Amino acid sequence: MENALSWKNIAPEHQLYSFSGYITNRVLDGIAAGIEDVLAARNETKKSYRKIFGIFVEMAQNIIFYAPDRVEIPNDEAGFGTISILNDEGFVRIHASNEVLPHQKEHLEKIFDQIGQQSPDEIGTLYKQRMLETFDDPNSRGGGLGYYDIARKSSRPIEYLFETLENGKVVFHVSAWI
Amino acid sequence: MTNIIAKPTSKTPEISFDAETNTLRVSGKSYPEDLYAFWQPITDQVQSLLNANTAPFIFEFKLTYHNSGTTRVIINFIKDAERLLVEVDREIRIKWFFDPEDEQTEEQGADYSDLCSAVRFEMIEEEVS
Repeated sequence: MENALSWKNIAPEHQLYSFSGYITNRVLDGIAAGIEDVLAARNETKKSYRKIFGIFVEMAQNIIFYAPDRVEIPNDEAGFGTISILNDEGFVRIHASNEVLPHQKEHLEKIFDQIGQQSPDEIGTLYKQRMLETFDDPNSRGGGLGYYDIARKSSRPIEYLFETLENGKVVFHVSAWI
Repeated sequence: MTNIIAKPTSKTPEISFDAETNTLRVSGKSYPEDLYAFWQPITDQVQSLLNANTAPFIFEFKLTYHNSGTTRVIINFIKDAERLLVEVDREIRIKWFFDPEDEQTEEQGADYSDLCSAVRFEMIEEEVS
């Protein structure tokens, strides 16, 4: 067989889960509970599984709700992206990638410029500030809390990248670690 | 008598109201695919229940996970309760349950507690399955 994926890259020592494709709410329904159960049962993740699961769901829902490459399906929605849970030098890395439109890139850049390379304590303060802004603004229905929450949970500063493809499309990559 | 307002699913919580103790109970997970469609009717019903009388009202949360969208819903519950307490002299309490192993839910409870002044917020450690 030509071009077989190297087992080294997809074995559980490296990769616990990886999903690429059009993610729907039903797909997330189907995989979320099972993933949580496995993470809760594994010695390496049984103390941290709740945070991993929380970040995983938040990133998966961002793809389902906002990824611009979409397919119209009845009674559900589908956005194209990838989401992985990986072993990374003693941490568990949760990574997501999806295409973004210019206005989405601008919105994300504002968020991540704020988050930047702040320390965990500073991120905690930033998150509370965002919560207060949501609380104090009588017209606010919230918004943008998701990445601040992910940044707060992450054991290392979250990393992100905007990758411009040859066809001009832009892909957003983001990783958090637990 | 306890009325079930919403039955639990894999991604939405069980919500019930105990009329004897004026207690709204929310338990399970909350990450609905359509935040507004799930939570707006609940929020409307909570408003009606709060306005039904001035007896002490209790929110009990036993959430094992809730997404950032649900965070906004909870913030709005607190906001609405605080606003009501400016006008009416009554007691509104929030009981926030968290498993001792669940640092995430404990931390979120502490955040909500910081938003409360007139609302009484209690953190309760309890094993949650």
